Amino acid sequence: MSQDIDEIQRLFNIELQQIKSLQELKSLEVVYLGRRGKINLLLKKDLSGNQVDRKKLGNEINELKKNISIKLVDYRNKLIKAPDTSPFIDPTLPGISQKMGSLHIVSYAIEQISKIFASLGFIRMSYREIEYEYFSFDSLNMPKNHPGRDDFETFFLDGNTDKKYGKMILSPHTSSCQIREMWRTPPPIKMINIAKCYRPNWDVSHTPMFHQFESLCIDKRINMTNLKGTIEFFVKNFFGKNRQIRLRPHHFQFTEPSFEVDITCDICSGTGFKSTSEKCRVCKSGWLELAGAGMVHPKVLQEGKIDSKIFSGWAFAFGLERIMMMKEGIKLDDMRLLYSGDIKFLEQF
Amino acid sequence: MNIKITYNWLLDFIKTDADPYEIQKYLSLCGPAVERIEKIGDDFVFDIEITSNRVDCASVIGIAREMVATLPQFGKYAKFTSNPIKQFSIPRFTPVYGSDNFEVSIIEPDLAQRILAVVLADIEVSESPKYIRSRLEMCGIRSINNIVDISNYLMLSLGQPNHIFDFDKIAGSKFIVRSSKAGERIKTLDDRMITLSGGDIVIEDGGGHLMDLAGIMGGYDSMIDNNTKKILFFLETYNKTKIRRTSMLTGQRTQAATYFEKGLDCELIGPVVDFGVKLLNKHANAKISSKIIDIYPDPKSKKTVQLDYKKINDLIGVKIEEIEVNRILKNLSFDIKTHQGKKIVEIPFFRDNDIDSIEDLSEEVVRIYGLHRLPGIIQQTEVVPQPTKSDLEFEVKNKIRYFLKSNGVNEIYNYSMISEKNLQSFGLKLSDHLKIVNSISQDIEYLRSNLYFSLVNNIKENAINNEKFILFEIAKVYHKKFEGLPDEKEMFTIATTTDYHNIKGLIDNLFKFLNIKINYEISTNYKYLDPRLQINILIDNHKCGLLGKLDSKYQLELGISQSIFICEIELDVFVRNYRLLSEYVKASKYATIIQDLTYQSTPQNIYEKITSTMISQSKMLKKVYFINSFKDKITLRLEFNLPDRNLTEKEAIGELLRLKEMLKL
Repeated sequence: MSQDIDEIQRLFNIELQQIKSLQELKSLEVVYLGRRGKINLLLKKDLSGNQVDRKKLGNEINELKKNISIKLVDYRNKLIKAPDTSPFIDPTLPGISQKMGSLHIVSYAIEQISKIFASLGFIRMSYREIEYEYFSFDSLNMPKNHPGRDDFETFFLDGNTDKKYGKMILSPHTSSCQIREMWRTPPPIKMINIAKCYRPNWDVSHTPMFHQFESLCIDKRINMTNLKGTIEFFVKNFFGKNRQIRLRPHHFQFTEPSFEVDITCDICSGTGFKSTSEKCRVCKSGWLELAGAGMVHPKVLQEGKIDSKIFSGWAFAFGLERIMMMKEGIKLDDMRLLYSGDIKFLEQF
Repeated sequence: MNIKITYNWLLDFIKTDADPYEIQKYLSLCGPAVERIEKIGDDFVFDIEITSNRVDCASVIGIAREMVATLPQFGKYAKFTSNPIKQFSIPRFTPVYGSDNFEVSIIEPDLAQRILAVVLADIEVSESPKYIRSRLEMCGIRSINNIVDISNYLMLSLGQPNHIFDFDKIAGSKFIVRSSKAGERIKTLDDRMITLSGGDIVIEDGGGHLMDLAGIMGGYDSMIDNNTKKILFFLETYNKTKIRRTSMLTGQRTQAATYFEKGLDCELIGPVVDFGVKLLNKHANAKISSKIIDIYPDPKSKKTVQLDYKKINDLIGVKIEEIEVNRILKNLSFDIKTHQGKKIVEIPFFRDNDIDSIEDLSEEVVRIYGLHRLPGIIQQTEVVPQPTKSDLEFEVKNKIRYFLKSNGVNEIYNYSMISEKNLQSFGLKLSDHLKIVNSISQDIEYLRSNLYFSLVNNIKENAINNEKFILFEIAKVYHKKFEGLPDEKEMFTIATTTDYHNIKGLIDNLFKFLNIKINYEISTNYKYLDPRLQINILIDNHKCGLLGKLDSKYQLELGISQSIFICEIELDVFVRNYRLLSEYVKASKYATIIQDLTYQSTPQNIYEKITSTMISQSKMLKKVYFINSFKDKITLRLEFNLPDRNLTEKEAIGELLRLKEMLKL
């Protein structure tokens, strides 16, 4: 038996010297110390001898096992410390990857805005793009002779005129959803609607199709401080803590009082000047117009079958393309690019 | 609209200790936004945005009124030193010189609310005084001569456009204000011959000759020149809707038109004519030589609104004391009276168009009080439940978008409108499509009934050097209905120039990503797709989308050299069938036997049919994979196992043979 032990020790010593890698070392370890390795086989063989011999042999085998274990550990340490002579592999080479696609700027805007308003408990609704005049105008307190309703501001469609609701149009603003939402559910109403809108303007800063983002909130005791608080919350979350807003009096038919929301320009940091002498071309004296807002006009609430003596509400609408430009400081000098289908532009986002 | 006025011009009427930049800051917070200031010489030009309801602010005097109400809120002094609106009125004297006769008649009463005309003689045409000339030029109006300049100066000073004709160039001593007939022509002051479409407000001289495109621009033939001796000073308030229509249709967006189309205050005309006559007399020696014609059939009385302090505070959300409300309103020229114990606010004429209700007055109060002083308080309301479907729609759209982005697909947003030519090039009927009546370009005349038109165009425009793209769009398409509003359906469409198997693999994976099980079947129904390469996408044996190669007929017609592959799926299909997790399939503990099968592909033996039949007809067959194809020989790999015991190879081969027999492979 002792001979077997010596033989195993001898073979191990020879084989160990031929090992070149950690992987080979692992295999060698299995050959000697594994479940069916040489040492375990030796232990099984040994069952026949007398008790004294068995004890002696057991000790010897354990000694062998210990010796092999120590040598394996030593050898592993030696291998780890040995300098790697394999050829250089540049670890900064690009990995194997699929070509990356892109999403449209508007898709990112929709995602982020929805997230911010979800955190305030606003639901996201979508409504029609093709509407009757009633929903876009009459119900929003825009009388028949209002300039916004004429051929130069609104696209009209050929099709049947409804006796009650008027002609078919492409909705020129998202506010057309206000009455539809009021008809869908009684207050409290807290919703946003992001949708395509259409107007007959086509130049560097206008496209005949664009997106608006509308928010409507109606409940008991809703007042202007709520409108201001909500817009401030949105602006801080969307544009970052460093941007300031201001509300300015303005005029919209469907809100009273009405405001425009301005934000400080990020190009000139709200100074209005690019350098000491050159004025900022992007903004107006440090401020950029962001949105129209106001308290829902009592006539609009009435059309929405809501009692304006009990309930009040606010609404606002942002131009989506515009706020994305302002957010990331994308110096886009031609809004038409967004809808040009030009891959070289779109694939950047 | 935007107007330009100057700082020194304001100081003609007002005394203030605010500098131009303070005026800019404070006015912008409380009223008209002063967008830019430009320093020219010792004066400052304000560029001010005027909202459509506040045309009363579109003048030096209008801005001065706002300053008086606003600046004291910021601790600045501002008071009128002279207010022409209060100071001047229609002169009640008889002609001093000569007795020229003139008549004005309005044919349709709704064309103008008020017209005032007076003849002035002894005119000396010359250069206007320096202060008028330089102020006009700073404000972007070219100086012409003293007469024309005074007319413009009055408009900017008081906000009332007016026109001055050469009296001797008017054939009859008569003006007839009427609607134009279609096809009538007039040459305007800018030497443009304009053909009218009918229904425009025009003024003729009684002999059928048009003298004035009313409210927009004067006629060329009655222009003031160096020989002008007598003038007709003409002031009016026109029907605003008609003015806007004519201005837009003729493309004559003059400053006068932008005033008239907002609707002007009839009461303003009196002070303007008086102030104007004084300026004309002072700077052009003009003397009144006719009676003053004043057609004003329906003089206005002042509107009133009941003052409800509580309502104002409720709407604003901040308590503003009654005394402060009163002060703000008074500074804005509102009179507060007590009538039968109730407070009544009397609306000044120049705010007549704008103020009707307590909400309107609240706006006046809060803007002067200061919107910047309001706290921002997010409302506390009950939870508003979101309809499940719209929530899911948003989630699924987002998942689709990011899946495709990671797979090299580019998202496009195209216009919802396309051209007639585009529809025709795909052989589609125009009458099936919704048409925009007043489109501004042939490129956007019809509403899309499908997204692939646009994506094919995108490929055409981008693949100039045969680049390979995969593009997608999610958007609504529109279908006419016999009654009511058209259908708006959201579609998902992919188009690519890569190859058929690439797009199919992408679609297979997209459905897997959304945990939706699909099958395919060969189709021949789609006219715009290659009849040999088109399939339906099925969910539970219902058609829910299509995939195929664009028929080369259309591809060639559009001049595209590469083959185009298209997939169209209604977005709702994804939304209805989407699942967050797939079904759990328990893995077998027992051995799996693998066998390969090669068969000849024929229209009867298509992969979809063979694999689905085998799977449904065998208890041992668990999975089938496509391995490869060579010409029409297809090789599949089949995995057999049983849930309760080990399967022998012999059993698996036997099962394979049975399946081959059954399918006649």
